[in-house]
Amino acid sequence: MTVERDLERAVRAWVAQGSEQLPDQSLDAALREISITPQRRAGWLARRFRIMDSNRLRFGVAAVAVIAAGVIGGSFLAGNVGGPGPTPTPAPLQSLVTIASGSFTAPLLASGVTVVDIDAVGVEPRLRGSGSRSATPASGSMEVSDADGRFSVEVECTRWAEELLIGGEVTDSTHDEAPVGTRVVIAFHPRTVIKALLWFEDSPPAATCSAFLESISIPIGVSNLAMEPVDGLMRVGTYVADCDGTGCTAIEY
Amino acid sequence: MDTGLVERAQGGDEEAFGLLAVPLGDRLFAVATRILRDDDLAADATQRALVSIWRDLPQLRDVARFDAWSYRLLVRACYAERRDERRWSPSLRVLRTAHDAGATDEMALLIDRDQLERAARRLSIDHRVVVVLCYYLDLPHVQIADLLGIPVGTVRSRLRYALKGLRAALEADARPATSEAVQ
Repeated sequence: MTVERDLERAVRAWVAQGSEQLPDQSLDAALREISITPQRRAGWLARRFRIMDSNRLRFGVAAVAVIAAGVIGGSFLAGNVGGPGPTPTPAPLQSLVTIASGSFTAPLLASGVTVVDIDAVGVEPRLRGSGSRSATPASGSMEVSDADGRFSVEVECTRWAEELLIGGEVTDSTHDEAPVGTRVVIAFHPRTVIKALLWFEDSPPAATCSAFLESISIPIGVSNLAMEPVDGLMRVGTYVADCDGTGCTAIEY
Repeated sequence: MDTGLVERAQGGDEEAFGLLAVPLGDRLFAVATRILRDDDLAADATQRALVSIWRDLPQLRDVARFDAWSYRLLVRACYAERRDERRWSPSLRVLRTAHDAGATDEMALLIDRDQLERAARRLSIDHRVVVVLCYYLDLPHVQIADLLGIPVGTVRSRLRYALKGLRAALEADARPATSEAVQ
């Protein structure tokens, strides 16, 4: 019983947290939409049809049919006369960038997962990574373990994106939260420190590992994922990259 | 809730609805964000709900039931938002290691929240809705049943199932930490 109460208390405390203020732009957008949205009067349709005599009803139905035929025919012609229409732009996949926007605080790096200074004297590198910097095809593999070697994760289908090495499907793991078959993201700046080992739950799952990686690929010049220590916490957010031929610089967090 | 404003809005007074929408939007957003676990989706759902409330307001017979009725439309909007979501929804977090065993209380709190968050994400939206209405809005089971249009027994069983699922997920999360601590 106590366990139940503890759980309920924890759930109450948990649901009490969270945003409570609708962003101004959402409220403004709703009010704008409302200004052009007519209200539905109760029973409006029923009353209108009751007063409509049968001749007017028949005329109305015929008019609707003519208009519908015109619209359908017009769109059919427009689709054929001018040759194939423009290819519909596929809806962009939700990227990691948008999901991580805002402020996202993760546990302290010091007690986090993979703070391993690869170049530090006396510290045996625990990370091996190889991969092609070319975006496609995604290839490579890497192995990551923490400083004490308490767990290791091997992934394949890795790829580079700017300065981040992004992982893929786990092929071997001693970490309970990243078992074989799951997909993880491992990000680090080469020759410095491993920034973070991130777990990913892609829903719905991408068909292939490559598709998964593509979904988190980062086009040059657009918002990007960034991790930086802020007040002792690792902040995961987005930045806009200013890229030239030699590399990219974060210009705005 | 100002019933006078509701009645004026029912009569098509946009200004009255605008006054109503400010506090109402916040209340709805707070619920939506807890159901959907995503502020962007919650903002969209709230926007959708506000428009539905405005559009269907003349059909509300009892203005005293405005709040409950609004939550009903919000829950529908949350379902619709979830259904329409055709995008990746990765859950991003830093993995824990044995180092976490020596973490501070604050850290433990972060992890607990994280665990609950993950556990909640594993629940279906049906179960999350009931959890939020019960533990966040403190609505009685009968009112939740009325709001969702389901029997009271179903509310109770969903709540039981949700808590069971949360407990199971938390226990599953606790296991690796224990085994690491033993090593």
